Amino acid sequence: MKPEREINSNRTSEAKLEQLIGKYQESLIKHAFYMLGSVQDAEDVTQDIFVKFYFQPPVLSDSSKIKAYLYRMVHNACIDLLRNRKQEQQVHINSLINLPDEQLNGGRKEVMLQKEFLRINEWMQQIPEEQAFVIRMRIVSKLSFKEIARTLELPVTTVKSRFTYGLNKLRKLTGIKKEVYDEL
Amino acid sequence: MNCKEFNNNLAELFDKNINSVLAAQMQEHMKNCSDCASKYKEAKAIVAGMQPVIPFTSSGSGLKQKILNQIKKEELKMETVQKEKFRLKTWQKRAMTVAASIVFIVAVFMLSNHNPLVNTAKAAESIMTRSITALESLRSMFITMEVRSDANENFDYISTQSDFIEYKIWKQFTGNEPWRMEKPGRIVLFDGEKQYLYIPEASIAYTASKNAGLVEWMKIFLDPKKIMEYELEFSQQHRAKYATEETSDEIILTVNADALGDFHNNYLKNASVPESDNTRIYTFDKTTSLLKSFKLFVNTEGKSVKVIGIKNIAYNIPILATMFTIQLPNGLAWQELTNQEYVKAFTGISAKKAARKFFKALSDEDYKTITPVWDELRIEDKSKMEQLKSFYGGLEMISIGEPFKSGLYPGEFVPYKVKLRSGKVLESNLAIRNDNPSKTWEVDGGI
Repeated sequence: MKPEREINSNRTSEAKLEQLIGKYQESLIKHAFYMLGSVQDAEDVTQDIFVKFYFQPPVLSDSSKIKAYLYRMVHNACIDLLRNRKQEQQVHINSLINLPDEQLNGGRKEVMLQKEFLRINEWMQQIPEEQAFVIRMRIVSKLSFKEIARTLELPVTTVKSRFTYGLNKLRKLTGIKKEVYDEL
Repeated sequence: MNCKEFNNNLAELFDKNINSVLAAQMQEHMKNCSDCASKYKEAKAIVAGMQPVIPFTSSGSGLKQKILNQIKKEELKMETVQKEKFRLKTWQKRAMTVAASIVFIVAVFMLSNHNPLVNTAKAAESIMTRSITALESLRSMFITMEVRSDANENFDYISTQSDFIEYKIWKQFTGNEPWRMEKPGRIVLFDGEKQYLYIPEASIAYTASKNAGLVEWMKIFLDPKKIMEYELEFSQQHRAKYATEETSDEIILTVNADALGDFHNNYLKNASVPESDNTRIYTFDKTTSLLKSFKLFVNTEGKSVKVIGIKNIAYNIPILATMFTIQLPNGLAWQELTNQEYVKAFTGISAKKAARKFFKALSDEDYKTITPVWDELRIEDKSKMEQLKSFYGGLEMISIGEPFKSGLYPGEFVPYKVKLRSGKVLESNLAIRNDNPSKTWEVDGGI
């Protein structure tokens, strides 16, 4: 048994932190955004995770584990946030999809992103959460199955199964829709 | 490749790094199987449909600065909270510094006049005393250390046969003095009120009282001052040989001790360190007298084996309050350790045995054993609970049948026939389930 260590000091150095922020900030915010639907919330979550990383760096053996660790922290923080959000807020977000751009909050860019989130979220709501997590990580956040497995601390085979089950379910759902459409 | 294999491997075609051999086999299969080919085509269309079309850009250019500002804010908060405590300690520190100086002067005097071995011991005591003084006014501490231990064992387990694994310790010396100790696969923490043990892999999450022994002798590392106090007490019994060495910025103290001494018993326990001599090497910062590192060697069979090595101690660093809490995953809840011996009785056995134990406990009126696994005995209404006890208490088991599953119920049904004290015979199926993290059978109904 080899002790895992590379980053082992009590704090991450500022230089190292800045390097990690530069490398992962955008992809982590994107990941959080497609879970939360708010750029502001996504940035806040990512900020908190980097601060936590600074004060309590984990002991990790290589950079791929750092990436998985950061994704895991952001992912879990988003789940907590989603669970704490009131039901009404969720309903409100869902009702936004049909609103014209000028009635949505934020600038033009953010409005487009919000609509994009709502469009993708509609797909995700059709399947169990655990399958949606994997599909979102693979398709939206572009993580490989191996990286997703590290992030969710699951075997790669489980990750792939969840991906396939989710995809098959969506495929069947769209198939049903297609048949109904064809009949009409 | 057949269709089943194709479906099992469908995800492979959507991975970031595609396995080219497998992909080729799947492509080949699709040439001969229109069903699988259209399945893949549909899946591909869905994946394409879920791709974000708009490139994502956050407003995150200022995020780096925001993070650095938040870090400064946290540090400032920590400083402010500690200030009052620190001020109270200052007078004490001054008094101790004076005392330490006197000891030091005496030690230097003795060094020049007496037996070298005794003198070295006195010099060592002086170093220890100075360190005790310096360690007096700590606000917080973070230790990383390597310990020859096993991940599946408790924190106190040490073996010269094991590899090194990393231990980490956080301690706040202010407020309720919370602490946290971590090794791979295991966390124990004290939040100021209770101790908590969390073993993620085994889904174990226990709470225990303030003074519970979730960590025993290893607890000495929660307070380096105590290590030095033990060492000082030990030296006064003249049971060890001491060597001191000074570099430009460090003082190194080596203690060669008989492992059979009191210090050994208090400090190492005998469960995993062989009964043998040991060597303890302390390194102190020359300016602050604070302990910088520590190594413990066990000298056995002509070899000296390092079993503990403190790699780094950071003093007075800010520690976020969240460090002294543990967020459990969904589906896992804290269990009181006091109940565990009873819960254990219903873990790792068959449904039939669990049912038998349950009725045996009712027969013996041993409610302590079944309270943790039968929520009817945990209800608020005491009179209802008493009714329940008098109804079932002292029953006689007639027969326990073979368990069966039915419908969507996640547990099992165990047929039973019992005779109540009143003479009435009950025949039904006990519903028990163990779909919880610790796989403990719980009585769900049927009684």
